[in-house]
Amino acid sequence: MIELLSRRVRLAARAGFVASMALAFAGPALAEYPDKPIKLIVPFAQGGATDQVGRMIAQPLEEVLGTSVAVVNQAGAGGAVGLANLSRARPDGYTLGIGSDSSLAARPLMTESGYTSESFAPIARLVEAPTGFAVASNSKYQDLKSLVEAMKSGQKVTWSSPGVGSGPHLAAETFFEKFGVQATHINAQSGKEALVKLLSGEVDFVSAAGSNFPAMVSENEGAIKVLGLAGEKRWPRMPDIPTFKEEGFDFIRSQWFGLVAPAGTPEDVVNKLATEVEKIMNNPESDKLLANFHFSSAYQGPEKFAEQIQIESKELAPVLQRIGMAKK
Amino acid sequence: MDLISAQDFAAGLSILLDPYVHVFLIVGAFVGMVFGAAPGLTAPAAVALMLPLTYGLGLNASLALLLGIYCSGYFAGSIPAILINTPGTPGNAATALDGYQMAKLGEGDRAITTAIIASFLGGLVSMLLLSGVAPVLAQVALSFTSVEYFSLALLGIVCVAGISTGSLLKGCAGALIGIFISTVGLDPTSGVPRFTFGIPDLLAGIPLIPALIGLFAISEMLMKSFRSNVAQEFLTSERRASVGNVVRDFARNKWLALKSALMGTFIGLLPGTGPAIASWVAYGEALRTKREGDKFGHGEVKGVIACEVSNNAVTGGAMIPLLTLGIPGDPVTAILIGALMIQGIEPGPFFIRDHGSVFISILILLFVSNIWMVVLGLMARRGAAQVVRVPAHILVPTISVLAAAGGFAINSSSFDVMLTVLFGGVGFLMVRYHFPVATVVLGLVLGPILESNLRNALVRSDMDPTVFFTRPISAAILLAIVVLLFVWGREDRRQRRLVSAELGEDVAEARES
Repeated sequence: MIELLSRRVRLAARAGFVASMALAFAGPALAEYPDKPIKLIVPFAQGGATDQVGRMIAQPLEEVLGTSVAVVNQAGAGGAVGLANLSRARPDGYTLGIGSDSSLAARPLMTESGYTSESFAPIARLVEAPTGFAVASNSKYQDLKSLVEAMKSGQKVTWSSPGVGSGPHLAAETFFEKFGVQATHINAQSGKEALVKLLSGEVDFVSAAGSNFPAMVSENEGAIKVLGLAGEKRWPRMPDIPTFKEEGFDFIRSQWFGLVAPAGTPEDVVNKLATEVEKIMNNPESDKLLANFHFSSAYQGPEKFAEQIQIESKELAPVLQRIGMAKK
Repeated sequence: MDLISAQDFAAGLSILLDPYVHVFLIVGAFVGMVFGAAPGLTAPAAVALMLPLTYGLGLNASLALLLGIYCSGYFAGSIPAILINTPGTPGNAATALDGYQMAKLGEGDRAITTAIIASFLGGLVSMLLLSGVAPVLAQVALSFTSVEYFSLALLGIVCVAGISTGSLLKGCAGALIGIFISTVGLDPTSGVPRFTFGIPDLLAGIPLIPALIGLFAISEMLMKSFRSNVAQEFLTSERRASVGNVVRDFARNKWLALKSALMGTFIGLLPGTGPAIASWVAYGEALRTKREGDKFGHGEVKGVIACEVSNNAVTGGAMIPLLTLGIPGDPVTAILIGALMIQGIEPGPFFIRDHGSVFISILILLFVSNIWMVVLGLMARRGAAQVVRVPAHILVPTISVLAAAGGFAINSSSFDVMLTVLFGGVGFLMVRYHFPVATVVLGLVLGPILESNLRNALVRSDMDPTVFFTRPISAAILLAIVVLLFVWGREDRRQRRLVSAELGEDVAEARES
């Protein structure tokens, strides 16, 4: 009898153990996302605009998700290095990254970038700033029209951008493609270097993200003139600058940054993140923060964002082909 | 010069009120002391290893740490050079010639005190020149185009090759290897990947800091683990030198000191050079102008003065092109670019205008770190030499772990750690076969400047190479290259003759390696 009882006890104990083990293993699948820290890959160096955007979104995300969001900077090749690492991460929602117009829409079309357009699950677009062209104040091109006329007439017009394959570089090339003009690109390694080239007279104009212009203009006290910004309407951060449309060029293009996860990340995780990001971006506090580094909030949900990437990708394909940067 | 406003000046000065700045200056000076004194470990290695730590520090504290290392690191190698005839860094090799002889005569303490004060003077003069020259040069640099930048980078490469302290051929080879390595990654003009072998991590090119840590630190650790642990013979000098006597030495040799400081600053200013070259050139000049009764090679204090003033004068000089053109003047400043970028500051012609307070802070930090160097140096002049005695089985694993952590931290990338190890292997082979490692680093830094500016200049001028001669500043730089090559070609032979005639063949040979 005692033996029987003890056997029962043992059985019960065993069953209890098995059940508890099963629970323990099933636990993570049942638990609410997220239950551990999230890694956010910022594919640009510390201190830059993308880094600031990443950190700006990381902090409120921590609060609403109740877990830490660690920003990891993996700079290189215009964001391609960090995104290539992201594409190889486990698609469980615990590794996210910041992508941009050039790194998400253009880079997959270029040679061996380490990822394709199918590598990511877009979560949400975060911020944008319109592309713009600027000249030195004493330039002979005082408006967009005269600049484009000069390019059309076959004169040698030189320009610079923050780097080959960067958003502003490709934006300008897309503009050239659309209006059938040509100009000679002089390479710079950064927006600052492009500005040095503009002020030394080495180039006639620069193409840059609008976010660079407010500081450029104020620091150079009248030495720089922004000819136009390619926004749909005038940009609230620089309301005096006309749009390309106003100047007679129907061209809309912005530099944007968005949150992406590796492809295969569960849909409910993507949706949950998108919902939280939307709340954060619509918060007036965020807009104040964004004003500090001259971006505008530009939320798009997962589907809209994926569409945006595809549209730009399609537009960029012939441009990349023409300038010899497309995948063979 | 209204480049720097009064507010900037005040903001720059206020750095002295920050207690952390002083803490990090002392920590930096200490780390620099250790790395400078330990043979094989150098100031660039220390700065590269400490750089990842500065992520978490603010701008002021990180600059304090790195500039503290910079000044002490260039000095401290003279201590083992004097006491055990083993220069802590190549920049102190010339110091050993007379310093060790002084120590043999029981005047080791006087030699070290002389080296400390000489380093202080060198640092001070070069800092003053930095404060005067940089704002002017920054103005001029605003008119520089790709043409001028290319000529400047070419001058740097020629300097590496022309006055390299070892074999000329091996110096050139090192620089070219560096330039070759710098071509990995996206082509700067067309954006097409080069030598990336389908590895996405290589798209961004070979990252400088991991490569540097491998070349400077891992290579030496590999060397150390191959050598047996030989107990070093210390020369004990009981005779303490009075600082007053040493100062009188300087008063007697004030022109030599000033001349050496100017030479050091100028050599620092040339991209592609460093303390090793500065000290040999200054020593050569001291030899050339020697007077009756000077006993160079047998414990002449002038030899120590010339070398140590000039190698620390490199610090201020090398900061000039860094802060005005974004081109580093020596290997340490090549790493300082990274440190500034981490803090969101891009060195270049706009640096002084946009960050006037940071410029003032840098000047002040250089000055204060020179003072800490003197204080720590005088306090620890005997102790510092003990670093040489740290056994390999403690030093090698410690530095290797630091190196791996440093390689990883810059980009949170395990791929970079592999690169660090790989470059450690490359560096080991180079050290083993007497190729100067620093030239690879300078090639790595100057290569992209050389390439992208050459191509930009040619694209801009429709492939017309005469632009390099028709633009006046570029033409002047090219002319300077020709003159320097001519002068150095002659000087080098003459100096080598002089050195070997004065000091015997063994010294001339030591210079070769």
